[in-house]
Amino acid sequence: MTSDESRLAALLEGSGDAVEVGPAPYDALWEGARRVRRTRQRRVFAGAVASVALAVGVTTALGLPGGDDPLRDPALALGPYGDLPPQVAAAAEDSLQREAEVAASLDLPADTELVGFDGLAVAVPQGWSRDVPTGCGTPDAVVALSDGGDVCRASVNVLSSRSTVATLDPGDEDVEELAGDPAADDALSGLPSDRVTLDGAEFATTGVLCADDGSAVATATCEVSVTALDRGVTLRLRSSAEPAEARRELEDLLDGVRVLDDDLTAVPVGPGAPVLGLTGASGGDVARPESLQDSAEGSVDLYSGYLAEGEAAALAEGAPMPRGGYSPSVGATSYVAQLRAAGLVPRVVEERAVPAAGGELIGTVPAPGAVLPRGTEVVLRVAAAPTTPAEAVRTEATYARPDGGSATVDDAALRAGATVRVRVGGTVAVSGYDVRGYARANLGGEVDGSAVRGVDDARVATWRAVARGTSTITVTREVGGYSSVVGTLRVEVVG
Amino acid sequence: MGAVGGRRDRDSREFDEYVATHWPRLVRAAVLLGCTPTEAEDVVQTALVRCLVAWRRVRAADDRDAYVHRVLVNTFVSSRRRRWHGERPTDQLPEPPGGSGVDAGHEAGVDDRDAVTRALEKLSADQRAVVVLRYYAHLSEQQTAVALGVPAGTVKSRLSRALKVLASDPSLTDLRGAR
Repeated sequence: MTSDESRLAALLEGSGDAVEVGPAPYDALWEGARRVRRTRQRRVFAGAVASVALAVGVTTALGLPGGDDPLRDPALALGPYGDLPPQVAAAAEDSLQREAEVAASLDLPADTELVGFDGLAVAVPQGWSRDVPTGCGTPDAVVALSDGGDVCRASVNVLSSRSTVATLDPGDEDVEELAGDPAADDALSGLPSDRVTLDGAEFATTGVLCADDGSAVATATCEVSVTALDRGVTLRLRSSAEPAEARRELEDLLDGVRVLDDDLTAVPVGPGAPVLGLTGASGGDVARPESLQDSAEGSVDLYSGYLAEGEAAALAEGAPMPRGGYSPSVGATSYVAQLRAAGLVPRVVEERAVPAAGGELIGTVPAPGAVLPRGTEVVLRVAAAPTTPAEAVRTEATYARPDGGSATVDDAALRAGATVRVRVGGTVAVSGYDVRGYARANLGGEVDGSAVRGVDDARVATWRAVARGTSTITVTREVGGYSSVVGTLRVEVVG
Repeated sequence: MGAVGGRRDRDSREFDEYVATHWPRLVRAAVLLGCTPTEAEDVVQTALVRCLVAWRRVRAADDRDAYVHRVLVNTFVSSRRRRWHGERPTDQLPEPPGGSGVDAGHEAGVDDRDAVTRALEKLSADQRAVVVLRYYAHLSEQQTAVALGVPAGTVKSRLSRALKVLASDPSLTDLRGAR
């Protein structure tokens, strides 16, 4: 190593050493692996190609943010849909009516609504939010409707609303490589060995397993899986309520399982579902070619999760989806294909969304899980092209808190106008990312007040607190000589 | 059955030993890659679950550390792409007003970490990964190449570019000068 390299290693070592690390979670690791293997066994057993995880929690008991949380990203609140843009509402009116008619035609328990997947559905209490099919991560809503792969299912923590769990991509070749032969590790798994009749059909089931009776259900209080034997589809129901309440809820949910007639289908969730409400890209990898890393800003056509330029319009006119040129992972292309495979008709409606790339999928109406007659249109909400440089990036501010920690302000908060507090000498930095999640420059800003001062920095817009008081930073982004405002940061500087 | 049980015992012991010796450093590597400490533990936990599921494959890899770091980096990248929720706007600032009780030494350490963090943020994701794997995880260039799934030449070029960026960083220059 050169001396510079050695110094860098020392700096990293010091920075790393300052991070307090908790003890290794051996039990959680082994339980996670057992869940992965168990899920794979069920797949092998049932011949299932997909399953849906329905995580059940209780908002009031656990303080989880629910669908009516005013701070909740409206794009995530798919259940009640929130305030849809007029053009989306108009386009989806007929489909929503059909969804309501289906629900009315089925004998559902009172105050419930259907969440469906591939020929099966479950009646859940009305008002439960259908969380997005982003795969892994701790659900930010009461109900998580997801299918993010085996490890994801093992890791999603329904007990905490704040921790973040990484995901693996369904279909990711590396996942397949790591998966190995699911039949090779057999002893850690338990097959759903019981039989139960639900809605007149026979299911294999694990029975309700609860932590308080010694079952290994690390991320929930109780859980139960049922596999429809005639179609190989597995439903997994989990509750984080207190044990008695969890058992009751799961029994209620099992009572609400419905086997859909052939003329009905459900808006798909699964590996091909869009990443709703998020602006990060779904494709790409650290190993992608250098040339792609340096590709022009806004060029997203090689990455999935978005419709390529012109594709949205072509789709709207009924053109077939193009083949090739897309990542095989999650994406708009595969999602449209899934919609069609489910017997539904995609209809693209553009709308303004910030931040977003033109063509990015924002969501669907009716939402994933909605039960509809075959042939019903499903509106794909697709972002219109940004009109200013500021709209084309997702920003994130990081700052040094007075207590020595660091904190972040996300894009929505920054655009809405956020307040942070730092000590004299501390810094506030604002980074910008393109729709694929890669850092982008050209952020800057104007300061009103004398408490902070800009740091000369070519790539990350940074300000340092120089005196007690309050200053407001108006964060801007400039491209091609055209500057536009992203948002404001009010910085309170303390001694 | 006995052979299977013995193999499993050996796998369990090996995995636990690996976790015992590598957990802190993997978590810190994830922090340097860009995670918060809490996120880092989640990312590493998920990565290790992935490894545990295929532990025999990990064991059979030519370079176990490179393999595990590859899983870690891929898991981290996926977590970034799918980050579920950021900080929410709030009327209440999380820290107590005034920030009293922070001694000078602690503050200096915070400044150092802040400078390193800010410097790393100036790197592209790929450059940052290669820097962390090479200079924190102490993987060789070849191991780093395996971990990132790129040719060794790409590792070299990314390192070269990353070092140029870091060398020009004023906060790191100040930091070095102060030592």
